[in-house]
Formats: sequence, structure tokens, C-alpha cells
Amino acid sequence: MAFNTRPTAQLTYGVVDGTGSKGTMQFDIPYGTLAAAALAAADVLRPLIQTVTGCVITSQSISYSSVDNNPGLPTVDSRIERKGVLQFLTAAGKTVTYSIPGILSANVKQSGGIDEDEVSMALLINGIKDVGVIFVDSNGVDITAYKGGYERYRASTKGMLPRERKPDPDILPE
Amino acid sequence: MSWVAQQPHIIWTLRDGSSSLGMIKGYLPHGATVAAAMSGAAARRSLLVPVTGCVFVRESIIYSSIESAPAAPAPNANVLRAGVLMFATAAPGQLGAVALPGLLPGLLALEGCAAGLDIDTAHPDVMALVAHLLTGAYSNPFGHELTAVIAGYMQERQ
Repeated sequence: MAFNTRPTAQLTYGVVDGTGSKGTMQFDIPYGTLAAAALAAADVLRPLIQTVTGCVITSQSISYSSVDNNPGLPTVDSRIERKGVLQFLTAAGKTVTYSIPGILSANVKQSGGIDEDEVSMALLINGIKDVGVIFVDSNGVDITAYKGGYERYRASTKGMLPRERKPDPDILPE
Repeated sequence: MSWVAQQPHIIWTLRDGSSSLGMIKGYLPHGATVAAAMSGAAARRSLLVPVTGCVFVRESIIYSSIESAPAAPAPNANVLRAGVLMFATAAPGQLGAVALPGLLPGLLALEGCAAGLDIDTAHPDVMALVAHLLTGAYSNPFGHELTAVIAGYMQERQ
């Protein structure tokens, strides 16, 4: 169980053509490239692409990823549909909500509220409130206070349902 | 045309006991470097792991921007028609490919048996693009730097 960086970061452009159809194009950037340098290169590349394609670039993202190629086993009965919803306040008074898939029942009170006194949950809440690189709101304002939390269930999508839901061919009428 | 930087963000991908995938998203301050973000992500992941029964399989730091006032595309631009440029890389025998949806038909070769199919790599607009791709900033998916264009052709998608 160890996270390894991918060899490259991905620069992705979203484009729109003359019919309104959307497409994407992707370029690989060596992982060691600083984000500032990658963004500068992307700024140069955009007009060059628009010149040769005639499409308009409407969005751009640069993604640096790392993956665990040998993750441990999840808890057998863990389900991402079961979410722990944590709400915080920013320094500007805005509410920020985080949704944690597969929340363990030990972190949920009988009422359905999040048990913020449970040790691991208290550590997480304090970690989110800490001034640090991760966890600000969508405007970049720091998170300063815990507001509350609860458990909620999300409907399963078709892709989440088990194969066993399909009828056994042996019992189908001929 | 005006590009607006969005708040950088992190996405953790998790897998549950039924192999379904979920995610957690968090925002980062503007100006956060990848190294600092990855370091912070590892620290925060160590706090998230004990509260969920899922396993963490991936984390991505994403810097995104959007065009707030896009211009109109060329009427003949078509994303189903993609130009493909093939590159040699710094690693012998390893190639790189770049697909360009919507490549304009005027950039295709006019002569020879591959007229209308091959990309005219001597066209000034193509040369300018290729020159930038060969500045050392781009690589193939294995991280090998693109060093020279070796072919270019048009492909149609459904």
C-alpha cells in the first residue's frame, strides 16, 4: 500500500467545433514539471491549437495524479452510497460541505449524526480546520469551524448494482 | 476571450467492498505547488482513512481554468475529424502521439499518394505547433520527452 506518482501530468483542453459538438485533447507533461511552468506552456499552446483546428478551447485542466497500485482490501460491508456529510464554516461565514463515502458506523451516532467526539473523527475535523495546503472553500477562504455532520444515503447507480441482480438463466422459462 | 483560473482542487478516489468507486473533493489555495499539495494530501489522507471503510486508490491535484467569453469556432471545424501527429521521443524505440480533434482540412498534404490524408508538416501553422511541442515541455505517457515529428495523418471518428 503505497502511492506512486504517474510518469506524467495530463494537460486536457475542452474544445467546441463549428457544429457545437464538444471534444477533448490531451497532452502529457513530465511529472516533474512545476505547475507554474506547465500553466505557462499551456498558455502558449492554446492559440497554436486554435489556429490549426478552428475549434474554440473552452476549458483547460492540468492534473497531477498518484495511484496506489496495490491497495489493501476495503471493509467487506463498506458502501460508497453511505456517506458521512461534514459541514464547516469558513472565515467568511460560508458553509462548506464534505461528503465522505463509506463512513464507518463507529463514527455515526444512533441518531444519525456524526460523532465528532470519536477519536478518529475528532482528528479529521481538527485536520480540516487546521491552516494548511488542503481544505479551503471554493473561493480559497480558510475553514475555521466545524458546524455539524450527519449520515446520508445516496441511491445506487446502475453501475453500482451487483451482477446477481440479473435472473439466473437456469430458472428462466424456455 | 478571457481565461479565468478556477480554485485548484484535489480529488481522492475510493473503492468500497463491492468495488464501486466514490470520491472526495477538496479545494486548495491559489498558488499551491504540486509538491506542497501532494504532501498535504498525504497528511489529510492519513486522517480520512480511519473514518471510512473504503480504500484510497488514487489522488489527483487539478489546476483548471475556463474561457469566460469564448469566440465563435470556425464553421468548418469538426471534432470528429482528428489530426494525429506521431513523435519520436528521447527513449529509443518509444513513440508519442498527439491527437488534434478538429484539424482544419487546409492543413492536409495536397500532393502525393497520401494527399488529403497526411498532415502537411511543412505548413507554417503546423510547424509552429510542432516547434512548441518539441520545447521539452511535453512527453509521451511514459514521461519520455518528444524530440521530433515523424508522421502526421488525419483520422475520422464516428
